[in-house]
Amino acid sequence: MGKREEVMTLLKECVQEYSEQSGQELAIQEDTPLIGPEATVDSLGLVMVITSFEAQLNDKYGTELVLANEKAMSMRNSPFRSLNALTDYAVSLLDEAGAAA
Amino acid sequence: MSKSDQAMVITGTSRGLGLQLAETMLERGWWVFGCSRGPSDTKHERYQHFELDVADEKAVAHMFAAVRKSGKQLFAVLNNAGTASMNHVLTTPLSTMHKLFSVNVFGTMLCSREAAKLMLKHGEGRIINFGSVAVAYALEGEAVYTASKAAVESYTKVLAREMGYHGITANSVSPNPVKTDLIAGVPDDKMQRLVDRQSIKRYGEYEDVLRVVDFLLDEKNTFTTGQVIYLGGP
Ligand SMILES: NC(=O)c1ccc[n+]([C@@H]2O[C@H](COP(=O)([O-])OP(=O)(O)OC[C@H]3O[C@@H](n4cnc5c(N)ncnc54)[C@H](OP(=O)(O)O)[C@@H]3O)[C@@H](O)[C@H]2O)c1
Repeated sequence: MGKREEVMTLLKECVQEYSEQSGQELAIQEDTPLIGPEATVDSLGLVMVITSFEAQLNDKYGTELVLANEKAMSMRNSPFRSLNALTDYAVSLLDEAGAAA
Repeated sequence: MSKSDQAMVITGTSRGLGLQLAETMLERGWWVFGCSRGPSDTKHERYQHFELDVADEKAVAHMFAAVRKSGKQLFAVLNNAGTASMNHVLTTPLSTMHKLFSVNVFGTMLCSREAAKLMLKHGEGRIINFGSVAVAYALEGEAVYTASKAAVESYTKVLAREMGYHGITANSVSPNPVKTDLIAGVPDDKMQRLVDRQSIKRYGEYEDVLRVVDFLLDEKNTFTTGQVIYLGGP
Protein backbone atom coordinates (compact mmCIF):
# COMPACT_ATOMS: atom_id res chain seq x y z
CA MET A 1 0.00 0.00 0.00
CA GLY A 2 1.37 3.45 -0.87
CA LYS A 3 1.70 6.08 1.81
CA ARG A 4 -1.29 8.12 0.63
CA GLU A 5 -3.49 5.06 0.62
CA GLU A 6 -2.32 4.10 4.11
CA VAL A 7 -3.04 7.58 5.40
CA MET A 8 -6.48 7.61 3.78
CA THR A 9 -7.27 4.27 5.40
CA LEU A 10 -6.30 5.64 8.81
CA LEU A 11 -8.50 8.67 8.27
CA LYS A 12 -11.49 6.57 7.19
CA GLU A 13 -11.05 4.43 10.30
CA CYS A 14 -11.14 7.57 12.44
CA VAL A 15 -14.38 8.77 10.83
CA GLN A 16 -15.79 5.24 11.19
CA GLU A 17 -14.81 5.20 14.86
CA TYR A 18 -16.57 8.53 15.45
CA SER A 19 -19.58 7.23 13.54
CA GLU A 20 -19.81 4.27 15.94
CA GLN A 21 -19.17 6.37 19.06
CA SER A 22 -21.80 8.92 18.15
CA GLY A 23 -24.29 6.37 16.84
CA GLN A 24 -24.66 8.30 13.57
CA GLU A 25 -24.53 6.76 10.11
CA LEU A 26 -21.82 8.84 8.38
CA ALA A 27 -20.79 9.03 4.74
CA ILE A 28 -17.11 8.03 4.45
CA GLN A 29 -16.07 8.55 0.81
CA GLU A 30 -12.80 10.10 -0.26
CA ASP A 31 -14.56 13.23 -1.44
CA THR A 32 -16.87 13.44 1.58
CA PRO A 33 -16.73 16.97 3.02
CA LEU A 34 -15.67 17.39 6.66
CA ILE A 35 -16.70 21.04 6.94
CA GLY A 36 -19.47 23.18 5.47
CA PRO A 37 -23.19 22.54 5.08
CA GLU A 38 -22.68 19.11 3.50
CA ALA A 39 -20.19 17.95 6.15
CA THR A 40 -20.51 14.37 7.27
CA VAL A 41 -19.53 15.26 10.85
CA ASP A 42 -20.78 17.99 13.17
CA SER A 43 -18.29 20.45 14.71
CA LEU A 44 -17.55 18.21 17.68
CA GLY A 45 -17.13 15.32 15.27
CA LEU A 46 -14.57 17.25 13.26
CA VAL A 47 -12.55 17.94 16.43
CA MET A 48 -12.73 14.27 17.42
CA VAL A 49 -11.73 13.05 13.96
CA ILE A 50 -8.78 15.46 13.72
CA THR A 51 -7.61 14.51 17.22
CA SER A 52 -7.77 10.76 16.71
CA PHE A 53 -6.32 11.02 13.19
CA GLU A 54 -3.36 13.01 14.56
CA ALA A 55 -2.78 10.37 17.27
CA GLN A 56 -2.99 7.52 14.73
CA LEU A 57 -0.55 9.23 12.37
CA ASN A 58 1.93 9.91 15.16
CA ASP A 59 1.68 6.33 16.38
CA LYS A 60 2.13 4.81 12.97
CA TYR A 61 4.89 7.05 11.66
CA GLY A 62 6.62 7.91 14.93
CA THR A 63 6.05 11.63 14.33
CA GLU A 64 4.93 14.45 16.61
CA LEU A 65 2.64 16.29 14.22
CA VAL A 66 0.06 18.82 15.30
CA LEU A 67 -2.57 18.93 12.55
CA ALA A 68 -4.38 22.06 13.63
CA ASN A 69 -1.41 24.39 13.13
CA GLU A 70 -1.03 27.91 11.73
CA LYS A 71 -0.46 26.59 8.25
CA ALA A 72 -3.70 24.62 8.25
CA MET A 73 -5.66 27.60 9.53
CA SER A 74 -4.21 30.02 7.00
CA MET A 75 -4.46 27.89 3.87
CA ARG A 76 -6.80 29.37 1.32
CA ASN A 77 -8.41 25.98 0.80
CA SER A 78 -8.90 24.43 4.23
CA PRO A 79 -7.21 21.04 4.52
CA PHE A 80 -10.25 19.96 6.51
CA ARG A 81 -12.64 20.42 3.59
CA SER A 82 -12.72 16.73 2.63
CA LEU A 83 -11.14 13.37 3.39
CA ASN A 84 -9.04 13.76 0.24
CA ALA A 85 -7.80 17.20 1.24
CA LEU A 86 -7.00 16.12 4.79
CA THR A 87 -5.14 13.08 3.51
CA ASP A 88 -3.04 15.19 1.12
CA TYR A 89 -2.32 17.64 3.89
CA ALA A 90 -1.29 14.88 6.31
CA VAL A 91 0.97 13.30 3.69
CA SER A 92 2.64 16.66 3.09
CA LEU A 93 3.25 17.11 6.83
CA LEU A 94 4.65 13.58 7.07
CA ASP A 95 6.96 14.27 4.13
CA GLU A 96 8.13 17.49 5.77
CA ALA A 97 8.81 15.59 8.99
CA GLY A 98 10.76 13.03 6.96
CA ALA A 99 8.57 10.15 8.07
CA ALA A 100 9.26 6.91 6.19
CA ALA A 101 6.32 5.19 4.52
CA MET B 1 -6.36 1.06 37.22
CA SER B 2 -3.64 1.48 39.83
CA LYS B 3 -1.19 4.33 40.20
CA SER B 4 1.54 2.12 38.74
CA ASP B 5 -0.13 2.45 35.32
CA GLN B 6 -0.96 6.13 35.58
CA ALA B 7 1.08 9.13 34.65
CA MET B 8 0.94 12.78 35.49
CA VAL B 9 2.61 15.72 33.78
CA ILE B 10 3.74 18.48 36.13
CA THR B 11 5.25 21.61 34.63
CA GLY B 12 7.84 23.70 36.44
CA THR B 13 9.33 20.89 38.53
CA SER B 14 12.85 22.23 39.09
CA ARG B 15 11.92 24.14 42.24
CA GLY B 16 9.10 25.62 44.30
CA LEU B 17 5.63 24.09 44.37
CA GLY B 18 6.23 22.01 41.22
CA LEU B 19 9.25 20.30 42.75
CA GLN B 20 7.36 19.48 45.93
CA LEU B 21 4.36 18.22 43.98
CA ALA B 22 6.59 15.98 41.86
CA GLU B 23 8.23 14.53 44.96
CA THR B 24 4.88 13.84 46.62
CA MET B 25 3.38 12.22 43.54
CA LEU B 26 6.47 10.02 43.03
CA GLU B 27 6.22 8.86 46.66
CA ARG B 28 2.63 7.93 45.99
CA GLY B 29 3.54 5.74 43.04
CA TRP B 30 2.72 7.94 40.05
CA TRP B 31 4.82 8.10 36.91
CA VAL B 32 5.77 11.75 36.66
CA PHE B 33 6.82 13.62 33.55
CA GLY B 34 8.20 16.97 34.61
CA CYS B 35 9.69 19.95 32.86
CA SER B 36 11.40 23.27 33.34
CA ARG B 37 13.79 25.35 31.24
CA GLY B 38 16.70 24.27 33.37
CA PRO B 39 17.75 20.83 34.59
CA SER B 40 16.21 19.02 37.54
CA ASP B 41 17.91 17.32 40.49
CA THR B 42 15.07 14.82 40.83
CA LYS B 43 16.32 11.30 40.25
CA HIS B 44 13.71 8.58 40.35
CA GLU B 45 12.95 5.54 38.23
CA ARG B 46 9.43 6.83 37.61
CA TYR B 47 10.51 10.41 36.83
CA GLN B 48 11.45 11.80 33.46
CA HIS B 49 12.56 15.40 33.07
CA PHE B 50 12.29 17.55 29.96
CA GLU B 51 14.28 20.73 29.66
CA LEU B 52 11.86 22.89 27.76
CA ASP B 53 9.99 26.15 27.64
CA VAL B 54 6.27 25.45 28.09
CA ALA B 55 5.56 28.06 25.41
CA ASP B 56 7.52 26.07 22.80
CA GLU B 57 4.87 24.11 20.93
CA LYS B 58 7.23 21.56 19.38
CA ALA B 59 8.97 20.81 22.65
CA VAL B 60 5.63 20.44 24.44
CA ALA B 61 4.34 18.09 21.72
CA HIS B 62 7.55 16.09 22.13
CA MET B 63 7.04 15.72 25.88
CA PHE B 64 3.45 14.53 25.45
CA ALA B 65 4.55 12.15 22.68
CA ALA B 66 6.94 10.63 25.23
CA VAL B 67 4.03 10.17 27.64
CA ARG B 68 2.04 8.48 24.88
CA LYS B 69 4.93 6.20 23.97
CA SER B 70 5.44 5.22 27.62
CA GLY B 71 2.15 3.34 27.41
CA LYS B 72 1.00 4.88 30.72
CA GLN B 73 -2.41 6.44 31.01
CA LEU B 74 -2.10 10.21 31.35
CA PHE B 75 -4.55 10.92 34.16
CA ALA B 76 -3.56 14.44 35.12
CA VAL B 77 -1.65 17.53 34.14
CA LEU B 78 -0.63 20.14 36.68
CA ASN B 79 0.12 23.35 34.82
CA ASN B 80 2.24 24.80 37.56
CA ALA B 81 5.06 26.47 35.59
CA GLY B 82 4.71 30.19 35.97
CA THR B 83 6.62 33.38 36.22
CA ALA B 84 5.95 36.76 37.84
CA SER B 85 7.16 40.29 37.47
CA MET B 86 6.36 43.33 39.53
CA ASN B 87 6.18 46.65 37.80
CA HIS B 88 4.03 49.71 37.47
CA VAL B 89 1.76 49.73 34.43
CA LEU B 90 3.49 52.85 33.11
CA THR B 91 6.95 51.29 33.18
CA THR B 92 6.26 47.74 32.05
CA PRO B 93 8.06 46.89 28.81
CA LEU B 94 6.32 44.94 26.06
CA SER B 95 8.93 42.20 26.39
CA THR B 96 7.76 41.55 29.98
CA MET B 97 4.16 41.33 28.78
CA HIS B 98 5.17 38.82 26.11
CA LYS B 99 7.18 36.74 28.56
CA LEU B 100 4.47 36.50 31.21
CA PHE B 101 1.75 35.67 28.73
CA SER B 102 3.95 33.13 26.92
CA VAL B 103 4.72 31.15 30.04
CA ASN B 104 1.61 31.60 32.18
CA VAL B 105 -1.04 31.63 29.49
CA PHE B 106 0.24 30.03 26.28
CA GLY B 107 2.23 27.40 28.19
CA THR B 108 -0.88 26.44 30.14
CA MET B 109 -2.98 26.37 26.98
CA LEU B 110 -0.50 24.24 25.04
CA CYS B 111 -0.05 21.72 27.83
CA SER B 112 -3.80 21.56 28.50
CA ARG B 113 -4.45 20.96 24.82
CA GLU B 114 -1.87 18.22 24.42
CA ALA B 115 -2.87 16.58 27.70
CA ALA B 116 -6.56 16.60 26.78
CA LYS B 117 -5.80 14.87 23.48
CA LEU B 118 -4.26 11.97 25.40
CA MET B 119 -6.98 11.92 28.06
CA LEU B 120 -9.74 11.70 25.44
CA LYS B 121 -8.81 8.09 24.72
CA HIS B 122 -9.50 7.06 28.30
CA GLY B 123 -12.60 9.16 28.83
CA GLU B 124 -11.20 10.59 32.06
CA GLY B 125 -8.62 13.08 33.20
CA ARG B 126 -7.82 16.02 35.43
CA ILE B 127 -6.46 19.32 34.20
CA ILE B 128 -5.28 21.46 37.10
CA ASN B 129 -4.13 24.95 36.23
CA PHE B 130 -2.47 27.47 38.48
CA GLY B 131 -4.12 30.85 38.89
CA SER B 132 -3.46 33.28 41.70
CA VAL B 133 -5.26 35.33 44.34
CA ALA B 134 -3.75 38.27 42.47
CA VAL B 135 -6.84 37.98 40.23
CA ALA B 136 -9.30 38.21 43.12
CA TYR B 137 -7.42 41.12 44.68
CA ALA B 138 -6.61 43.04 41.45
CA LEU B 139 -3.17 43.70 42.85
CA GLU B 140 -1.48 46.98 42.06
CA GLY B 141 2.07 46.50 40.81
CA GLU B 142 1.16 43.17 39.25
CA ALA B 143 -1.05 44.19 36.34
CA VAL B 144 0.47 41.90 33.74
CA TYR B 145 0.86 38.91 36.07
CA THR B 146 -2.71 39.39 37.28
CA ALA B 147 -4.04 39.70 33.73
CA SER B 148 -2.18 36.54 32.72
CA LYS B 149 -3.60 34.58 35.66
CA ALA B 150 -7.09 35.95 34.91
CA ALA B 151 -6.63 34.57 31.40
CA VAL B 152 -5.67 31.18 32.86
CA GLU B 153 -8.75 31.16 35.06
CA SER B 154 -11.12 32.10 32.20
CA TYR B 155 -9.50 29.59 29.89
CA THR B 156 -9.96 26.89 32.53
CA LYS B 157 -13.69 27.56 32.73
CA VAL B 158 -14.19 27.23 28.97
CA LEU B 159 -11.90 24.20 28.88
CA ALA B 160 -14.09 22.60 31.55
CA ARG B 161 -17.14 23.13 29.36
CA GLU B 162 -15.57 21.72 26.23
CA MET B 163 -14.08 18.71 28.05
CA GLY B 164 -17.00 17.87 30.35
CA TYR B 165 -18.56 15.59 27.77
CA HIS B 166 -15.33 13.58 27.64
CA GLY B 167 -15.02 12.93 31.37
CA ILE B 168 -12.17 15.41 31.80
CA THR B 169 -12.38 18.03 34.53
CA ALA B 170 -10.51 21.33 34.49
CA ASN B 171 -10.03 23.52 37.53
CA SER B 172 -7.74 26.22 38.79
CA VAL B 173 -5.85 26.21 42.05
CA SER B 174 -5.16 29.83 42.85
CA PRO B 175 -2.68 30.16 45.71
CA ASN B 176 -2.12 33.09 48.00
CA PRO B 177 1.53 33.96 48.73
CA VAL B 178 3.60 30.86 49.43
CA LYS B 179 7.26 31.43 50.26
CA THR B 180 9.07 30.27 47.12
CA ASP B 181 11.56 31.89 44.73
CA LEU B 182 8.60 33.39 42.88
CA ILE B 183 7.97 35.98 45.56
CA ALA B 184 11.47 36.10 47.05
CA GLY B 185 12.16 39.48 45.46
CA VAL B 186 9.00 41.15 46.76
CA PRO B 187 9.48 43.25 49.92
CA ASP B 188 8.05 41.65 53.09
CA ASP B 189 5.79 44.58 53.95
CA LYS B 190 4.15 44.41 50.53
CA MET B 191 3.53 40.71 50.97
CA GLN B 192 2.18 41.22 54.47
CA ARG B 193 -0.32 43.78 53.17
CA LEU B 194 -1.49 41.21 50.65
CA VAL B 195 -1.80 38.51 53.29
CA ASP B 196 -3.81 40.94 55.43
CA ARG B 197 -6.43 41.18 52.68
CA GLN B 198 -7.16 37.47 52.84
CA SER B 199 -10.05 36.02 54.84
CA ILE B 200 -7.54 33.90 56.72
CA LYS B 201 -4.47 36.02 57.25
CA ARG B 202 -1.39 33.86 56.89
CA TYR B 203 1.06 32.77 54.20
CA GLY B 204 0.11 29.65 52.30
CA GLU B 205 2.07 26.45 52.74
CA TYR B 206 2.84 23.79 50.20
CA GLU B 207 0.42 21.48 52.05
CA ASP B 208 -2.44 23.95 51.50
CA VAL B 209 -1.87 23.74 47.75
CA LEU B 210 -1.45 19.97 47.89
CA ARG B 211 -4.77 19.55 49.70
CA VAL B 212 -6.64 21.29 46.87
CA VAL B 213 -4.71 19.36 44.23
CA ASP B 214 -5.60 16.11 46.03
CA PHE B 215 -9.28 17.06 46.15
CA LEU B 216 -9.28 17.71 42.40
CA LEU B 217 -7.19 14.62 41.59
CA ASP B 218 -9.44 12.24 43.51
CA GLU B 219 -10.59 9.57 41.07
CA LYS B 220 -14.09 9.78 42.53
CA ASN B 221 -14.21 13.55 42.08
CA THR B 222 -15.71 13.48 38.61
CA PHE B 223 -18.12 16.38 39.14
CA THR B 224 -16.04 19.35 40.28
CA THR B 225 -15.10 21.30 37.19
CA GLY B 226 -14.65 24.85 35.95
CA GLN B 227 -13.86 26.04 39.47
CA VAL B 228 -11.30 28.53 40.67
CA ILE B 229 -10.23 27.87 44.23
CA TYR B 230 -8.62 30.83 46.01
CA LEU B 231 -6.50 29.80 48.95
CA GLY B 232 -6.93 31.93 52.03
CA GLY B 233 -10.35 33.12 50.88
CA PRO B 234 -11.53 36.22 49.07
N1 LIG C 1 4.45 31.16 45.33
C1 LIG C 1 3.41 31.95 45.35
O1 LIG C 1 3.29 32.81 46.19
C2 LIG C 1 2.32 31.81 44.32
C3 LIG C 1 1.14 32.52 44.50
C4 LIG C 1 0.12 32.41 43.55
C5 LIG C 1 0.30 31.61 42.44
N2 LIG C 1 1.47 30.92 42.29
C6 LIG C 1 1.62 30.10 41.09
O2 LIG C 1 2.03 28.79 41.43
C7 LIG C 1 2.87 28.27 40.41
C8 LIG C 1 4.18 27.77 40.99
O3 LIG C 1 4.83 28.85 41.61
P1 LIG C 1 6.18 28.72 42.47
O4 LIG C 1 6.04 29.68 43.59
O5 LIG C 1 6.49 27.32 42.76
O6 LIG C 1 7.25 29.34 41.42
P2 LIG C 1 8.83 29.17 41.33
O7 LIG C 1 9.38 28.75 42.64
O8 LIG C 1 9.32 30.42 40.71
O9 LIG C 1 9.01 27.96 40.30
C9 LIG C 1 8.55 28.08 38.98
C10 LIG C 1 8.88 26.82 38.23
O10 LIG C 1 8.42 26.99 36.88
C11 LIG C 1 9.49 26.77 35.96
N3 LIG C 1 9.34 27.62 34.79
C12 LIG C 1 9.33 28.97 34.74
N4 LIG C 1 9.20 29.39 33.47
C13 LIG C 1 9.12 28.27 32.71
C14 LIG C 1 8.99 28.03 31.31
N5 LIG C 1 8.92 29.04 30.43
N6 LIG C 1 8.94 26.74 30.87
C15 LIG C 1 9.03 25.72 31.74
N7 LIG C 1 9.14 25.88 33.07
C16 LIG C 1 9.20 27.14 33.54
C17 LIG C 1 10.75 27.09 36.77
O11 LIG C 1 11.89 26.43 36.26
P3 LIG C 1 12.92 27.15 35.19
O12 LIG C 1 13.19 28.51 35.68
O13 LIG C 1 14.11 26.23 35.18
O14 LIG C 1 12.22 27.12 33.87
C18 LIG C 1 10.36 26.52 38.13
O15 LIG C 1 10.57 25.13 38.15
C19 LIG C 1 3.04 29.40 39.39
O16 LIG C 1 2.14 29.23 38.32
C20 LIG C 1 2.70 30.65 40.19
O17 LIG C 1 2.25 31.70 39.37
C21 LIG C 1 2.47 31.00 43.21
